[in-house]
Amino acid sequence: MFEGLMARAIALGEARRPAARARLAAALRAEAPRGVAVEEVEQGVRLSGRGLLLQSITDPALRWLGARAA
Amino acid sequence: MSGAAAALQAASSKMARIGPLAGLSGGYDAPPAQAVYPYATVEAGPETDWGHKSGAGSEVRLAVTVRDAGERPGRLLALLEAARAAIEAGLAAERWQIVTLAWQRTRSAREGKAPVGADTVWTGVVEFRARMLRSS
Repeated sequence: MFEGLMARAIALGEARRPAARARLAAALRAEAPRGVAVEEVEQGVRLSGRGLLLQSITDPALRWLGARAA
Repeated sequence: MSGAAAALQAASSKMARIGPLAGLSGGYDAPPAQAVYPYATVEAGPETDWGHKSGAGSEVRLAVTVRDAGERPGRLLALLEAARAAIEAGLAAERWQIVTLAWQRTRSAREGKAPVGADTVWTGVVEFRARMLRSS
């Protein structure tokens, strides 16, 4: 019954995804501590860096990165 | 740090609930220069507007970090779980009403490779999102 509406909503979302991903990546790059790389990937945005898991626990700047950028 | 974050941190830092956890040497509101393992640090993070047209409100992130030393992280994981349970059991922030307090995630990791003969240091964090309204 709502197939057409759902398909249109999905298409609209898909069309806006690259721009939303780029905005998020830009916000993360602006705040990411030195040594943390931010890259756009198909699924979203990937953060990478040496000891990132430990740093994300101990460094408040990195711990709250996602919360601030969202 | 604003009123909501400070009130939330103070409520948590009192460690009225976390302090008595078995084996925890103490609770701090900033990483201590010297402390006996295991210990906890409570920090309030970024704060965003959660108010409405007739009242002030804030959304605040809260993190409880626990550091411990030992061969395995078993005690650390138990303390993280106990800290989560203690915080979720209810906090009372002065002059603020905590409307919701949602657990976000728990993570832990080893802090590098321990020198020969020394215990490995483990660290973990429990994170929450609190939504608060200023009491009139």
